[in-house]
Amino acid sequence: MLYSRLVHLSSSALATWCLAIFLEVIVFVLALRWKAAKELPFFVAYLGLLLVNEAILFGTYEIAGFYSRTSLYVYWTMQALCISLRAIVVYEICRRILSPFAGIWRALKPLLIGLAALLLGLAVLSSRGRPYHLTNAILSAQRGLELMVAALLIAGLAFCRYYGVRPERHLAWIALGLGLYSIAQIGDNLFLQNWSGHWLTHFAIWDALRHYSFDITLLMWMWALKEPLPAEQPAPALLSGNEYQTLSPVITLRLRELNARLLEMWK
Amino acid sequence: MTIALIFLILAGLLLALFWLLLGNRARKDSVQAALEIQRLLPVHCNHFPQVQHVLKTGDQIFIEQRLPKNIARKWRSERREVVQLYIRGLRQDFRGLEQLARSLAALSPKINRKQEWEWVWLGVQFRLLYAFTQLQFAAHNLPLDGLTHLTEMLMGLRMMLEMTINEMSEPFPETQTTLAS
Repeated sequence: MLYSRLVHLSSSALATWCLAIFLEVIVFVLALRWKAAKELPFFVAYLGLLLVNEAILFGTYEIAGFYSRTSLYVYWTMQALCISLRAIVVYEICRRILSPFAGIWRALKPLLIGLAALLLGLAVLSSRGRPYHLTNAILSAQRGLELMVAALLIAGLAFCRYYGVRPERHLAWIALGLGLYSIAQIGDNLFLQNWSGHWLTHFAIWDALRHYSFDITLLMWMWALKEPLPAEQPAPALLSGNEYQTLSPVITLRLRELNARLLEMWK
Repeated sequence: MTIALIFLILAGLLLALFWLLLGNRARKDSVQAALEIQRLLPVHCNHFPQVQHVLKTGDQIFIEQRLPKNIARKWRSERREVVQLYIRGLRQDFRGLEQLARSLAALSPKINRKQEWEWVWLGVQFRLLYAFTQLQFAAHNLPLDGLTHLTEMLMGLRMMLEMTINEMSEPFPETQTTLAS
């Protein structure tokens, strides 16, 4: 009776869904147990939203049926909410890693926001170009949003790497999970939209990746939250600001000269 | 073809993500460690007089006239090895300066975005030029004058940075310990 409307789902799809819900509950409980909300409130909110999402979808499928238009709208609305919150989680992670370094964070924040806005604009434009094909428009928008999440994450982490700022272990695993899932979704989305039925979509590894990428992500988050979160580190003692003003022109000048000399050697 | 390209891009993005987060975790490049000034200032350029001596053409003529061909060849090859090591050392000097610049930015409350982009661009330029210089070296064509200028410049930079840092450290005792450790 309870699963009457879900009878259209194959047993493997149902099992995958149940596994995902089970893992979501574990990750959410771990996040609450270690009081992760203090450090990453949006991440914990996202984990909560995932569970709410499952409950809403289950209820909708039960009431309206799996293949109904209502289910389609509810599913994609929840997806949009989840992806948007995921983008905010990525920003939260970048802020968490870089904000102790006030100068870098102040300079990079507008860049990251600008990049996100640009990709969001492109996603909107891309989906608006297909107004007569609802599924295509939705898939384009989803791909654009996932691309925004992945690009934001990679850009933020590239800056961390450039400045030698190392993320803490749990943040690294959470970020890795976010990135992996977004990239898998972009790939899945592209194949669905352009090459559904292509032999590659039946390739075992690809098939596993697209079906289980979210479970892998949840396992990564479980790994991130397997032990109490480290105590907050004191912010590094910053220089006064004069040092940068005084030293940077000297370094720039010499680096420029060094390049000029190398160029002369090459001529 | 398109599928393969997209697949490659996605795989590249995934690899980049793994590398950014987990790659080379053991390397000691945290911001604090980077401010070990002695480790970052140019040092290899101090050995230029020895390298200059190795490169003197007078020695080459003398050895080629007096020694058997095989020994002269061995001597030339060892000489090239020394110069090669020296050029690599210069690259290490550049990287040290670059790291100093990044650490300085990381620990400054306010940075100049334009300045930062210039450092990125200079780093890219240096890497390209270094690759070309290596090619030139491989083609047995490395002018000694160029190497002299390069070394003099790095030595000048080392002195200037040391002086500036010493001057700056005096009124800020709490940063002095970090910078001088």
